[in-house]
Amino acid sequence: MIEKIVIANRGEIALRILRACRDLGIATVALHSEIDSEAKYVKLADESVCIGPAPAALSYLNIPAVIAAAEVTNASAIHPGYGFLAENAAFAEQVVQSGFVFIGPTPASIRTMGNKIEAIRTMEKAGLRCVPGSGGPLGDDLDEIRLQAEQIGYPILIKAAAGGGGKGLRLVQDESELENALALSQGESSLGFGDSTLYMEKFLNNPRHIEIQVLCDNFGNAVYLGDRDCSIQRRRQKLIEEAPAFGIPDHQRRELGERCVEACTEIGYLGAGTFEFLYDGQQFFFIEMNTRVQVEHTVTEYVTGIDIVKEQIRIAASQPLTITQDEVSITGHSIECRINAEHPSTLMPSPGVIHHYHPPGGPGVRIDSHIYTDYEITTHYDSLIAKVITYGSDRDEALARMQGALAELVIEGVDTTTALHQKILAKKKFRRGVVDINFLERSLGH
Amino acid sequence: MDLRKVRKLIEIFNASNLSELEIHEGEDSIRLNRTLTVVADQTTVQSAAHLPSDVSQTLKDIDIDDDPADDDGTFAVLSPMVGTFFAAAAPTDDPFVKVGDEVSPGQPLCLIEAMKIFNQIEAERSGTVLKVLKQNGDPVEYGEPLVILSE
Repeated sequence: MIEKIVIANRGEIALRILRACRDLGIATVALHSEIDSEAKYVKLADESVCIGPAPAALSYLNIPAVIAAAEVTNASAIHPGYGFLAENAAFAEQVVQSGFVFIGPTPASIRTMGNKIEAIRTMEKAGLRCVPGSGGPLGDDLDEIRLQAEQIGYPILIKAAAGGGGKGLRLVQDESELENALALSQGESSLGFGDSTLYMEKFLNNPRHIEIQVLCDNFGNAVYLGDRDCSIQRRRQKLIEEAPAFGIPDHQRRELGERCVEACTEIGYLGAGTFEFLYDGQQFFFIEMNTRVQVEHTVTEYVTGIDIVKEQIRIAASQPLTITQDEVSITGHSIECRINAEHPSTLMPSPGVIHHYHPPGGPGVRIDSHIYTDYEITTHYDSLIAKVITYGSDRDEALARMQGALAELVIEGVDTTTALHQKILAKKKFRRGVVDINFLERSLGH
Repeated sequence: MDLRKVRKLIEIFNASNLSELEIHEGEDSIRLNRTLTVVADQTTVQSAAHLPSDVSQTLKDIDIDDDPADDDGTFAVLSPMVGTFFAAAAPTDDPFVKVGDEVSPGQPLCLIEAMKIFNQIEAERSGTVLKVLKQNGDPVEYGEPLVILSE
């Protein structure tokens, strides 16, 4: 069994992992940068190690420092959380080579899913439908690319194989824009990722973002924990997530979940993972797989009663899954609002000191947050400061509880996205569940 | 006085509604007051800022982390990384330095092992070794003092 875990992350997810370890009776080591050393969540850990100065590249992304910290504390496993080193195959490899357990999938799985073209090929082979596209890297011959684009049908998206965060991404409405877009994407991609490989996909106008959560153990067992809708996004970042995805017929959800499980078995996937899809015209199109715990895992935990982080740790400790597919049942509805330290309309980051913090409570309300009164939000890291999650016997009750919780929430000293959430929650279309990934930008008037 | 302790005191002071706080510890003393004059070990820092939260900013401005020299003429060599401390190049070798040794810039003081790689920590300036704070095999954090030199 794993006796001591190094938490190679910060903020709310570090605290989330710490709580799971506490439940399991596992000792924790909180790694932190210099600027995070006084944070209260760090003090909750059994041990803490300062691994570098504030800039993430020198601390939370510093592989030798993370592994050295595991060595000096005699830990047996490393949990990477999300972001930072969570989807870095080289890191996972070095963790394993240094004799520690990496709480996540194998380095090979991370590497495959990290390359978008590889991921799409793998999933197509495993029987998942992908967005119609070039099916592989684009060549140098412009005429051939023109032909491919015509076959797919405009508008199309040019994407970077190594991509992420919208870099190298270009929307092409018709052939006249193609050549220029290719050149721009190539430049951005080689500059941003050191890899100029591009591919092409059909642009879906207003799809929903729906994803499937899976858990797989070392013994060939794999289950899916239902789906989530994460269509409320801005600049490709999720803001509100819900489980289950409303309006999806049960048989379709089951069919998709079973396909994901089959794909996991096929590729020998291990641990928690998420298959992301675009849903358009009653069809699911695979876009990518996240090989880590996600920010929005909480809504799935609420509707299934399964602790995903604890399952991750058990799987890493070579224990079989505690649940079978038959035992997974979805009850009620859950919603998560991400509270970011950002201006609610301009969405500009808002660093500063929280002068007053009062979290909401009551039945069906869960807060995952590392902040407290006098906590200082710096510009070094992510702006996510709290996740407000509510549960209800149906979507209406979960929504009512979310409105109540947001009204109770007090965070003074910095701007937060709370008011934006309240605005979205009040929208009739949102309440009726008529959403797609462009909903927020349309309603913000961008 | 440990600079981290000073910073902590400032935080406590900022969170309180005291107008002045004075602490003596051995030969060290620190006095904080609301007019924003920080007196730490005879170093006086004047700030034009009026918000209490700017006090810690003022301390950052004087680069305590980059120049960990105390006014009593001692100087702490801080660990540039997390790892394991070694006083000598091999278990049977003599330590790089002992208390009382004179060191010159670039002279090795100890090793920090991280991921099976030994990183040599060198003196940045000349001085006399006053204290070696760690022993073979001790874990060290980033920024932790390893050796105290006097100028």
